[in-house]
Amino acid sequence: MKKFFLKKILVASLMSLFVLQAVYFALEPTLTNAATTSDSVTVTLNVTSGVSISDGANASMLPNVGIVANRSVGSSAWTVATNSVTGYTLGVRASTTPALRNGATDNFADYTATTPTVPETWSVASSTKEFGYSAYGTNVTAGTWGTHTDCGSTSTGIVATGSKYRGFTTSDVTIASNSGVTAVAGVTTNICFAAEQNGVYAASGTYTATITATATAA
Amino acid sequence: MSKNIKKIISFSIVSFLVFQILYLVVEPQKVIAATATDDVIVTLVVGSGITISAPGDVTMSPAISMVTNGSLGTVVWNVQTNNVTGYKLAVKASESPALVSGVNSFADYTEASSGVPDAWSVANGDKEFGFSALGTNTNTTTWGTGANCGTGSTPTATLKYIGFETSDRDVATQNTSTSIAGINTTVCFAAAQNNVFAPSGTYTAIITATATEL
Repeated sequence: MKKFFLKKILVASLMSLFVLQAVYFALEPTLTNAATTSDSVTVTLNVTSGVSISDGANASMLPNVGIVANRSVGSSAWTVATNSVTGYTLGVRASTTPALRNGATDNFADYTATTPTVPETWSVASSTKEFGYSAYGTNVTAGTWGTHTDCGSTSTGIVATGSKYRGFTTSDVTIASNSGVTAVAGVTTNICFAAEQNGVYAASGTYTATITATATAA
Repeated sequence: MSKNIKKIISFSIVSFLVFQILYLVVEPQKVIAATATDDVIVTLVVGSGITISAPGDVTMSPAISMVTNGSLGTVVWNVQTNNVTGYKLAVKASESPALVSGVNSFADYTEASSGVPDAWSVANGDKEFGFSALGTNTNTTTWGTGANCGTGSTPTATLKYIGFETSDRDVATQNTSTSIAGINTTVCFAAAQNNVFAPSGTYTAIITATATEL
């Protein structure tokens, strides 16, 4: 009888102890934190991407092509700035095909590279007259466009050594790209124009091509 | 068994009589005393506590871009405490630098004298993120006298800014309990780029305010 009561008392005591422990563990952190309390906020700043392009100068090719001058070169340049985290691409295209025309009178064919989409060393076949372009600059791939650092001679019309040319199309062809943010001053890409007649006369007149450069945030 | 019961009854009756006699003997003496006093001490414990509000997250404005170089943000924390010696409010960032977007970040604001808040100024070629504070319990000598965080993308010139750290920096203190309404403290965030582009993206900073009883 006595033993039975002792057992009951022992069990009741142990259960009470566990209940009290559980209550303590549940309340203890709250009570401890009562002296210090915190709140966090997330601060968000959006940096919107943008891209700008300078107004490239119109180009007058030199020297004039004539009956004794077969070649002519010209140049222009665009400066692109962007804060796009993935950089930019710069593409160029002509407004017409062929690009360099003298109204309906005559035109220079777009430069025909051996592989049309792969720039190559300037070379115009006999009995043809052609107009093409190359590029150089910090963000221009030398493997594609050549290793030149200028467009050539405006006295002789001979293109720069190491340059590679292709013909214009009416859709964009990328001439420069960068995979990150530019400096605020931007990055300048130079474009070289070349025209040549070989064993044939281009009809006299003023030939124009409208070339559009488009910078796109990548 | 019945013998035991008899013994118990007898014992109880005897005890009762003894107590009765004792009472009759002692009670008149107490009455004769006429005046007697006794003190009780009543104790009320007022436990101290402190609360902090949970304001919404902050989106800084305007967005920074190629043509917008600065941005501001504001958050207000309200602290209530009945602690007799008051409270302090501190803020910290979860990481260093505080304002990040993947691998890109704004550097924590660099004061002219490290650790001393100063008028907002970001050097050429830098982009930085910092904060100031204003309110009833902020020290204007430390944080400036500005009454708001600024206008547009320009921080208030009379506020003083400092860069976040990952350890607490006090922004407000009071040495007494607050009113039930509590005390508001405004934290002003500022970010700027100066002649450099911050790469586009969404930058975030997690700022924690901690109110502590003093």
